[in-house]
Amino acid sequence: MTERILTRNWQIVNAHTLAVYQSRGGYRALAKALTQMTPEQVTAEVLASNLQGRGGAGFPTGRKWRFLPPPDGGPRYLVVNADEGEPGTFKDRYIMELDPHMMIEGIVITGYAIGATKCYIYIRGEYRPAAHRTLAALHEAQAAGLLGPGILGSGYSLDTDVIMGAGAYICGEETALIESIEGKKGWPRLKPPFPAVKGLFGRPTIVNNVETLACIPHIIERGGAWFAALGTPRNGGTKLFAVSGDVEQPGVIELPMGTPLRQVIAACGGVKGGRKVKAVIPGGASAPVLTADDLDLPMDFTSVAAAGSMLGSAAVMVMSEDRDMVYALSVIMEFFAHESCGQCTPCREGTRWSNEILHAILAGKGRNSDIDTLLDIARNMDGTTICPMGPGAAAPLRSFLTKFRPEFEAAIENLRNRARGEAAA
Amino acid sequence: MSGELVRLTIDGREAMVPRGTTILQAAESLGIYIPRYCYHPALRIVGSCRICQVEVIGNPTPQISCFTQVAEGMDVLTDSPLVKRVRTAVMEFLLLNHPIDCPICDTSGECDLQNFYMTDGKHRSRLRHHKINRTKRKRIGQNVVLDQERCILCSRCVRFLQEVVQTHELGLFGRGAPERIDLVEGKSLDGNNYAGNIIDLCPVGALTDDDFRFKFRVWDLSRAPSICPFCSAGCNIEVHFNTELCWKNNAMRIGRVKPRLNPHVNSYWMCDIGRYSFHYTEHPDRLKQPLVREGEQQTAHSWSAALALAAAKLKQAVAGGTGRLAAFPSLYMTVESAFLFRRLFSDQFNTARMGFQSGIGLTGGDGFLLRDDRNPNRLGLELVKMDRKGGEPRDELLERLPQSKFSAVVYVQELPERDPPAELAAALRGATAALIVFATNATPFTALADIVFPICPWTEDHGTWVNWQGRAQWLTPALPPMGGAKPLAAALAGLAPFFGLNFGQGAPDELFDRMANEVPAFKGLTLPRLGGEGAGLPGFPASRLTTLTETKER
Amino acid sequence: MSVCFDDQQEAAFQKLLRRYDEGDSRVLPGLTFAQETFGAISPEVEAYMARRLGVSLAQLHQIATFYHMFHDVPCGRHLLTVCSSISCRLAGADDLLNHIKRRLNIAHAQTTDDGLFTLEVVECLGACHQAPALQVNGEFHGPMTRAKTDELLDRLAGGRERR
Repeated sequence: MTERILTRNWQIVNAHTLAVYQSRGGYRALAKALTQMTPEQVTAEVLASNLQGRGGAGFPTGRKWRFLPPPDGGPRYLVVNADEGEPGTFKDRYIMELDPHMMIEGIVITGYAIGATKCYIYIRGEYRPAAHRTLAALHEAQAAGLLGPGILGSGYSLDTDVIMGAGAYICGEETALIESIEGKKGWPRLKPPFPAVKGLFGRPTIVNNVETLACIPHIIERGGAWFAALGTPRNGGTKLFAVSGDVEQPGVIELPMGTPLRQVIAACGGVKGGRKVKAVIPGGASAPVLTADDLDLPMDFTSVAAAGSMLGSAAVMVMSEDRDMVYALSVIMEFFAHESCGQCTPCREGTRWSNEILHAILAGKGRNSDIDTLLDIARNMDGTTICPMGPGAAAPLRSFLTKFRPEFEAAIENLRNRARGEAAA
Repeated sequence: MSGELVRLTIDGREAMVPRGTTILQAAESLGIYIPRYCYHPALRIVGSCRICQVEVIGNPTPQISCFTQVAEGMDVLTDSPLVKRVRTAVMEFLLLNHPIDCPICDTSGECDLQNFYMTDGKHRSRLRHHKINRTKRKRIGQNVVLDQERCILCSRCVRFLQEVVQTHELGLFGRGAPERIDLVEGKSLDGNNYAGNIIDLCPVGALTDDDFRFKFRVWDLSRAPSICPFCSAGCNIEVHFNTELCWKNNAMRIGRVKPRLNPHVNSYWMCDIGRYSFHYTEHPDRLKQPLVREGEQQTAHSWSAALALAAAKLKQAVAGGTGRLAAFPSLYMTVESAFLFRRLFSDQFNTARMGFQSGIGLTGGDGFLLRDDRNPNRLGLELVKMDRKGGEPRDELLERLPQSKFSAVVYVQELPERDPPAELAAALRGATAALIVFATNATPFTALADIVFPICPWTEDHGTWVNWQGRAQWLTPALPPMGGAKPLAAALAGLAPFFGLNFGQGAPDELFDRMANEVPAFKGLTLPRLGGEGAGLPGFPASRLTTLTETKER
Repeated sequence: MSVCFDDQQEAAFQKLLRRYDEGDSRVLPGLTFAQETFGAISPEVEAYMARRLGVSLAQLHQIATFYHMFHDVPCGRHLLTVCSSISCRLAGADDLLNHIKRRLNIAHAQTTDDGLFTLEVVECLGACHQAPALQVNGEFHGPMTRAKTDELLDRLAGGRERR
């Protein structure tokens, strides 16, 4: 039985309040960090934990913090990416609704480690309940001296506020998020410079995901080595899997890094109706689709990448044997066409074009050459764009069409025949 | 920049460029042109069009050359299979929603979609669905027409208005493929004196010039360098014209005027006043032959006859030492013409009064290019000491002419609209003063003159102008003279022998050398030294000769 | 009708300006506040807010047209945002959407004549385990069925008759 670490308080009534959080051991790690550790020691512990960014990129968190230049006395920012917009992902929402203090404790420890002077929590506009809970928790923490000036009587101060998004998936990309806070469209920036060097308001900035930050108190309290050992080599800790689609009990489940996919699905009651798996998206819509052949795949960043996909946000979407792959892909590409920020040519035009082709296929107007055209579009969006949305949109196109090509070929012909038949009738 | 040099290889050729140079700039230094839409040297780099991507050996992902800085030992390919594929892909993506308006689009022939398609695209269209429809033919300024369908969203126009003139009339609205560039609500480019520059910047036919609309196909245009005369900035320009297709454009030879890069004077820009004021030079009321008044009519005469008549009238007017001459030089004159004019009408005639006052403020303007002084060569006339015998403001002298008992008036037209009213010419006739006029266009004033010499406007003239910076710039003719018009210097040189002076045919290089010898400010200068970008004259603060700041003063 | 904050709204706005006082961080919250206050980001509201926020109208209109939660015309009393992303579509979002459209007789981005409901089809709301999901004025509902949808709409409409 996996020890519940991130989700340890989720079933406790009023766990979102400071009183309950503290009664269950909360903010002990913060006290330890501030009174017994230097910022560099905190960072070292996080490095040792093999914690990887939980937002989707999976970049080692400690290494990201190390990109910061030495402090120069000016402002330094921690930005919390709570823009959770990747289809299938809803784990950060629950951290904020059910246990916001775990995130806040992680924020303050992280702020201490990186020398942040201010923290902005950027919450997507659709997450009002989560924002209310977070704001309430921030006020509690401030009142209790766990946030704000002179935290726990130490010399460290951190000002923290929430800023709401207004409906744009692309603002989950860290530089687009920064642009949004700065009062502009969410257009990702050209890199370099990276945010650690020049981020929010031109200052050194670290952007971390909600779940990433929620891991921090545990790493500090029980040690980086402990956290690392929970998972697999280079992939430390437990992971929140947001499981949806054709499973009996969709929801968020916490399992060790490296849990086989089969077990993740089983932990959610297995495939609905006891059916067989046809396709599984392991990490949000931007992750290449897997098939029933991949059910033994360990769900960690390294292994999933080696299998040609990505763990991403660990948003697992299960599709059982009767599901229409053409329909599924068309829905996914609709998403990318709607959410493309439009800044650069390949993504702006490629997402719309592929969406149009897929809908034409569904309407019985497909052509046999469409599959190769779509594969070409995927190839031309991948690696030619400003931000990872290019590869993100290319991934489902390429993977669905490659792994289910016969189904697409048959669909093009069948739907065309049906449309002709209907027209003739 | 530390000035440190970086060595890299581009397409197998070595380049040594300063640290901080981008791959695109380094390639240009080797004469390698990388296609680009959103990149422009005077605007912020946005890296959004993605066509300038190149292959950097060791990196599986192509890199945008407009933004990526060179690194020691970098090995770049601008023409590899990867680059070709990416460029063709970007071209295909851009053409997906682009209307094939070429047959009716003015930009055809100088369109970078056409150009890069031919060099780097040539894909066969796979498009079967509807293109996005947006607003076409929207007038967003006096002379600027926006076609949102043709727009490739390179955002150059938006950035120019944000960064260079900081007026923010345009924005890029929406999200994703349906994005469009449009005027901000309630704004217009009507009052923006730099609106025309966004037409230059637009790589496609999304922004077109309404003044030029449907006049000529661009491949029928010849181009010649010139200098804008309409203020003392002396912006470098290019005149685009066609002298053969006389059934087009109402037989007006000039199609349009565009800025020419001069980093010290006007950068890549010019103002709309300069851009759209050329029409008078091609107007049907251009004077094409010398006219002499006989009774109530003016009849055409040959140059030699008219010159002889003018000389006779002038001699007669000042005979006996009692007659007085009033002379009106033009602030549009070249320095060479001014030199001749002064030698003839100031040095020769001791009683001459010059309608010219120097020393008008050299500051002001709109804080960017346009200067308060709406003449190209005031400084030049001051340098040849046009008013050394006594000058007074032109308008004042004009006004008191009839009462002041001048026996002869020599008047050079600056611009047709600046001519005094016909009544003044009539009054002069009543006061029996000979009125001799050098003009480009016929006006009610010139119609009552005794002798009218047709001279070339700046589009057909040659000589030196000195701008507000103290920079001497060389004006060369863009077009052949219209009809029998001659450059003013040639006309004056034709008059000179009657007064014992010899200036040959008034050829520009001869005159320049003569003048350089006699006018201290020009000493030591030769025409070649004026070069393409002009030369600063001594005696002017060097600070004024520094590179133009690219942004409007706040 | 000229757009202007009343005293209470002005006080709240000033508080917002003090709260988001770094760089231009006031702009996005400021525009959100304007929409809550005035009901929509009309051209008049944009002109007013550009002045109050100290940014160009170009920038403000760019933001207003980029973020889909900003509307240029007011919504009905209840904004129904129905998720159309993959997990919800697999769970029957198409049917849910059609049911709502038929019941209310409106399409995406339209408002019922009585001003009660506005319908919007949106992308992933983060409620994939409660698919098919929707939000009513930002509050989550799901998994929706036809019956639950009717019940919800009835309740919101105050027990009015179904059309």
